[in-house]
Amino acid sequence: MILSRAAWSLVILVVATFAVFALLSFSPGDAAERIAGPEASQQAIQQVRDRLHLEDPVLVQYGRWLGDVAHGDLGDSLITRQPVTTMVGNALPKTLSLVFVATAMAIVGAFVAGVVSALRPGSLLDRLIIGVTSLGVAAPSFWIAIVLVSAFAINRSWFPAGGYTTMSDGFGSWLHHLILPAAALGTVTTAELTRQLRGSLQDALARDFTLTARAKGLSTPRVVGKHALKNAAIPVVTVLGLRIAQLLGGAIVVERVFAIRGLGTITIDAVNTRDLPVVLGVVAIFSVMVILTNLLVDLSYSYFNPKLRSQSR
Amino acid sequence: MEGDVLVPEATAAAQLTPVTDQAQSQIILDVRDLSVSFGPRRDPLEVLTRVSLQVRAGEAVGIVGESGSGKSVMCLATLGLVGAIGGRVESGSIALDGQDVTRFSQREWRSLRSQTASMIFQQPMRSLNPAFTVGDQIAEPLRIHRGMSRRDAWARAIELLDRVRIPHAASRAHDYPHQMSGGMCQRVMIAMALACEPKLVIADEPTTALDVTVQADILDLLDELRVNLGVSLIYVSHDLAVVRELCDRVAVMYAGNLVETGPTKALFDSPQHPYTSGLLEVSELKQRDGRLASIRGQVPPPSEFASGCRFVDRCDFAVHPVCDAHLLPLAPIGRDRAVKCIRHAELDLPGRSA
Amino acid sequence: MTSLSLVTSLRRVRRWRLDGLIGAVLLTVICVAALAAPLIAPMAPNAVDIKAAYQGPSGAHLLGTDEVGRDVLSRVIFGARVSILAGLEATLIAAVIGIASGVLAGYRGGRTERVLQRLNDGLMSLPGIVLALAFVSVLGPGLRNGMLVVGLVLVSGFFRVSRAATRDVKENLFIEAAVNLGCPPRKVVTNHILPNIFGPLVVEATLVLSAAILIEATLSFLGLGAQPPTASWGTMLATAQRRPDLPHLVFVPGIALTLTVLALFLTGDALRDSVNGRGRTRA
Repeated sequence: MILSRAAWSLVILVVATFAVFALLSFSPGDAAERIAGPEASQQAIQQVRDRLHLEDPVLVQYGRWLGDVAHGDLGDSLITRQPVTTMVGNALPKTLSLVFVATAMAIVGAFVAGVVSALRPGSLLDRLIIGVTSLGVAAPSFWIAIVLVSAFAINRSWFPAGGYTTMSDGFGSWLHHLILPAAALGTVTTAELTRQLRGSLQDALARDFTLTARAKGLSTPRVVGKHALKNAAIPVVTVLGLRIAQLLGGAIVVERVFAIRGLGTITIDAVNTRDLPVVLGVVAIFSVMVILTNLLVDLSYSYFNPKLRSQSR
Repeated sequence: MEGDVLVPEATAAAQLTPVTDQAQSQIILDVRDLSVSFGPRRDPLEVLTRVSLQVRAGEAVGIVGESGSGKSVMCLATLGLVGAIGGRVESGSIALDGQDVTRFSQREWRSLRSQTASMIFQQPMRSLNPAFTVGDQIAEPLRIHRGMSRRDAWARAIELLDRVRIPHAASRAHDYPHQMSGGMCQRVMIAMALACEPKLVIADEPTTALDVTVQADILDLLDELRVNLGVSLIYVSHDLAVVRELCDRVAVMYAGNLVETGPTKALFDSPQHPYTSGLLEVSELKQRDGRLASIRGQVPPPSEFASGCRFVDRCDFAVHPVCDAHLLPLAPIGRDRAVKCIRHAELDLPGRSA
Repeated sequence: MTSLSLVTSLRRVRRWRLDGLIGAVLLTVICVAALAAPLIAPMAPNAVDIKAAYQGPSGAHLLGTDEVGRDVLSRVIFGARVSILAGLEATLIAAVIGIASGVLAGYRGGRTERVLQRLNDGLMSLPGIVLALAFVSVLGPGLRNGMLVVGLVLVSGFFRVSRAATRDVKENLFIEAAVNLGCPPRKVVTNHILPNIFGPLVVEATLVLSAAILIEATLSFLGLGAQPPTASWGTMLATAQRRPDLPHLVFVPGIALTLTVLALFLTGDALRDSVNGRGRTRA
């Protein structure tokens, strides 16, 4: 089952990248002219065209690109002349760090808020959590980013207003730089996960096996944290899976606000300068990341719901 | 009748204990005048009214009644679980193995559950956690209450599965509930209930959701376990035939009241309460005037309980205003029997046909 | 127990009524503001006054001024217009394409459905922003282009809902009856299927509109959507980012955006509850 999903995912990857590729190749403006430069002669421009096979049919160009990708070659940037793979390679860890920390914060936050809320439905705390999460799902993450910078980096210097340091420069510094952007990025996800967890936890607590667990003399933390939680997890994981794509997208803008040179910044620069190979490369990478995380989510389902594991007896 | 002094049920209940005693007429469960209600405090719905029941060591007591009689609430109350479904104990007392547990906090209850008394529920497949193996679920009380190691608890779980007659216990312990049939799930629940060797097992309609053929097996198992382990059993059912097979004494419940109690044979041969008699007729599929016997009307919901006898609208022998006057306590009659009917002495109710 | 579950369900009904009401009221206020902008706004949104730049709230400018002295209150009101219109445009494009393909997929079934579904999965496998950015790199920046792009990106939601709803409705006997009576497929769709999938589609439309408004704001924030001097909440936030020390610049457009999205969510939820409660099909 996992294998067929992986196979389909590959097909989807091809479809998505081909669609973008085709669109980009029909774009107005001549790539060859831009590469050759404003001073270039017609001959020089034609040379560029030949070199990059820009006059081949779209399908052929795409096939060639795909073949290159299989070899790990994403082409060169039209602007910086650097291999796209290098640019992506430098930027990817930053984006991944950001998304990872944001997801971790979201999971922890949702866990705490969701459990508290489900255990005391209707209480003041519960109502507060519901109210805050209602706002949380509606707020744009880049605005939260600006607010956080304003509150914690400008008015009080608790956190840096931007920049990124690698892990090798120190774990503390790495985390310190990532806390504000990750908090901004993770807000919506935290709110959504909290609401989902609260709902599915309440459902699980109302089911028969919870009564059995109590009748066995188990303590409340155990009844909620072990018995109910494992059953409540699946819808929450589903929501998380759906949110990953949004998180990756949101990272683009948050990086802008915090001046982190991750994939997002590279994409925006490429869009502004019409640097098509970079755009294409980024699309491909994003697609791969979404597909991989969805596969991970699918795999985790069988841990939470034993009915999905293959029956081998 | 006016001027009657109401005998508190507790006194009546105390008179139910026969004076002859063997060493084991130790009382495992002693419920006195228990009242349980649901809903907002200013406007409560009383679901159990002044119910008293005693269970002795090694005894099997059957509780019979239709849905809505309060039998399940009664079971949950004996384990302090009424709060878990949104209810509360208004008055009365419960003593488990000599200990007064009426005001116990949930914390204090925890060590009693599974070790002193345990419970088996009606829907076995829903009552087991689908996310954990059956072995895990049986081992859990052993590890929590007895402090057993993972390995020891697992070994004991396999022993228990064997005891409840599940073949290939060692490999089946790794199964999940959805991989087992209803009957097997119920055996797992029984194994789980017996894990910490409790003195009392409460079975709330354990076979209602199972096939008839499987039913016989489970009953057989319960009986054998009770005899071999000396455990007391409360068996709740609406099926009189089963109760007759399995139980030493029977308590009949109706609309939140206990209406009659007594030794099985005596109660079935000569019931003293019109409701009991009616149940017997229905269970034997007797015919009356060419139609199947039935008790006319329906069990009233708690919001519509009468202030006098609650069976009055459905009773063929009701006499107004005597029966409407007030709610009688359970009155002892002779040895080990009690009934809540003002006319019981006058009535000669049909019992079990030979 | 019956009494317990009754109390819980009653409480639930009361809650959504209140939420939906708040949402609807909020939405109406915002729409009215957008429509009546020229009448309500105290000043022209693009009236420049350099001497009054970066001022906080005062008598003359209730919500302060921006970097070239424009009145923030007026800009936020006109911004409602820009954001909502842009959002509606994009939603309309997404709806037309999404519903048409979704109903086709649901009605035809078989290979058509499978192919269209896989295409939709491909569309959903990329974050909306990424796709939008890719398209913008081709079409160039600008609000018109931006909305076209956003519309294309948001097709997947409408496709998914209309396909599922069509399949659901198709199961009903009255569809079979219509077909057997010789009703041509196009008529079956317009007369029988569309009216019955209306409910879930309206609910989806509120979600899509909220997403469209957010994506438009993001694009404008990045300088790729609405171009200055157009007053869009996104461009206002771009200004705010350069001066995060000025709360009136930071909070006003952000709160406006959040409230609009919130209003759409609440309305959508209330609509969903009433759609589900009332039973879906009318033959």
